[in-house]
Amino acid sequence: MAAIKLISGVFRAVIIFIGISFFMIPVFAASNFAFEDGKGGYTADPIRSAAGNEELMQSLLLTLQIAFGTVLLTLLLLIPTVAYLHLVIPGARAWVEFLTLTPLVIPPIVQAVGFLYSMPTWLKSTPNSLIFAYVILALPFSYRALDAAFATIDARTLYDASRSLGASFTAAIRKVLIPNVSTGIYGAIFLTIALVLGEFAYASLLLWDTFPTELAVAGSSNASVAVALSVLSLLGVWLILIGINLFNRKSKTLIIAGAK
Amino acid sequence: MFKRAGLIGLAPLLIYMAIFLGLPLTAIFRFSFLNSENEFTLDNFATISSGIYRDGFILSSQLSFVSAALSLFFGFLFAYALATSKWIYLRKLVSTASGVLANTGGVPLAFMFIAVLGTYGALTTFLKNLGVDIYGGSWTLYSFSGLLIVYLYFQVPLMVLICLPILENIRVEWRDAASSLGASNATYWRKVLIPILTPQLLGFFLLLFANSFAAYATAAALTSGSLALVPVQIASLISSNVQVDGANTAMALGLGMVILVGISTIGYALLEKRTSQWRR
Repeated sequence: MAAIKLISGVFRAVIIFIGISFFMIPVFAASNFAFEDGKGGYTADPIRSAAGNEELMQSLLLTLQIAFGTVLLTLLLLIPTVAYLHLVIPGARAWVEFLTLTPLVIPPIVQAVGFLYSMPTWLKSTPNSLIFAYVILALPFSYRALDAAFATIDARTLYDASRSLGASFTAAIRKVLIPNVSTGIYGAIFLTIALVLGEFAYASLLLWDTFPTELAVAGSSNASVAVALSVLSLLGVWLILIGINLFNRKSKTLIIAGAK
Repeated sequence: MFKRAGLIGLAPLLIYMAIFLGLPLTAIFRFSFLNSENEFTLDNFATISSGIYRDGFILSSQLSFVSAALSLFFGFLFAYALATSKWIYLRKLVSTASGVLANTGGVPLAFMFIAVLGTYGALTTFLKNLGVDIYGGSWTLYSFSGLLIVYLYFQVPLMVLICLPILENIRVEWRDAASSLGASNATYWRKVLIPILTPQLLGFFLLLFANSFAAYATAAALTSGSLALVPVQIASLISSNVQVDGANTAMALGLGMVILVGISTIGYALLEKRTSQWRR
């Protein structure tokens, strides 16, 4: 019996070791590849050369601008909707959630083709049109983050209590509800930013030079710059996602569709 | 007063979704039944069910099937080892890291693997110094099996991520009850654990399949179109004008993808709903 226990313990340790190595080796090897100076030391040259690359920096600015717009539009659209659902028609929550999950069923590349062939030219002629698409791509995640936050605070009771104590409608929303769902709001913000930073299908099909598409171009001319930026952008997204995990302990299973 | 307002408060979201999701979907549906002259036709579906497009569906399905099966197996093994270990902090760490890696993908992931397993990659060089030349034969990172390795990098963590909570919820009482009734370890697995987990694992398989089938950026950045997966074919049909009704063919391919990914995802959701009862 003891022998079996020992064997299964060793077996388990081996599996865990292999699993962790499988995930860690590429990260270390890629960092090494990018920042090695060829003389056994390390160098920040790839970062410097990336910072000097005008087009790359432009694309990063554009992506940040789109991320900001997407976050703003998402919050403007969803906070009132989720608040309304919880306060007025909680019975409709189940099917609205189902509806907001539909973008997951349609691969981003297919959405992008449909977008290209259904939107008016004046809209498609600016990279800011990506904002409208990204709000949809982020919807399954941003909606669930906000909905979960409202569900944990019993929004209806809080609202009724503050109204009966004399708060106006706007005061009840602004001073009571919003502060109480801030974790959900932060979660939605982080998720949306992470999605926009990695989205490739829409941007490449609509021919906009966002950071991911520009990175793909940079890769064909300067490998170490591209790898260095890839490692850094992965680290950036990882930090964002760890941030989400801190804010969003409830819903553990998060999959961002856009980046892959 | 609120009650009478009814569904009006939902109007902004519903209208937004109708415009930016409904219209694109309608366009996909409509154009896949039209030719380049905008006349009704079923030719697009004939086109995509033969030749290179049929091969594309087969290749995409093979990649998704194999990557789903491998990540189901290895992810389960890894998650089971973690769930039964006593290292709670390690489990927390791995589950956070899995959340991160499952969302990793696209261009950065492709470049990372070029740096690791490409012709001059770090691991390639390292193995070469040990006397193992992985590029000695016909293998390259830009082939089916190369792409498969890269896909596993986001598929296995996804499996770990969705599987860990299930395995953590396996009750000790079940094992105790089984062994007190005289069941051996093998009997417990065969008669208790596997029947409980089977529908769940089937659902996970469908989710992993859909996740891999819908992926585009990784394949695009890594193989620059040399592996004709369906998403890659759609993108190249749209961005080049070699075929007269190329856009319509792309739409039909898109519709095919929506149907396949849709069926898988809905299957996952149904199985998930069915099996969520005993988890409470």
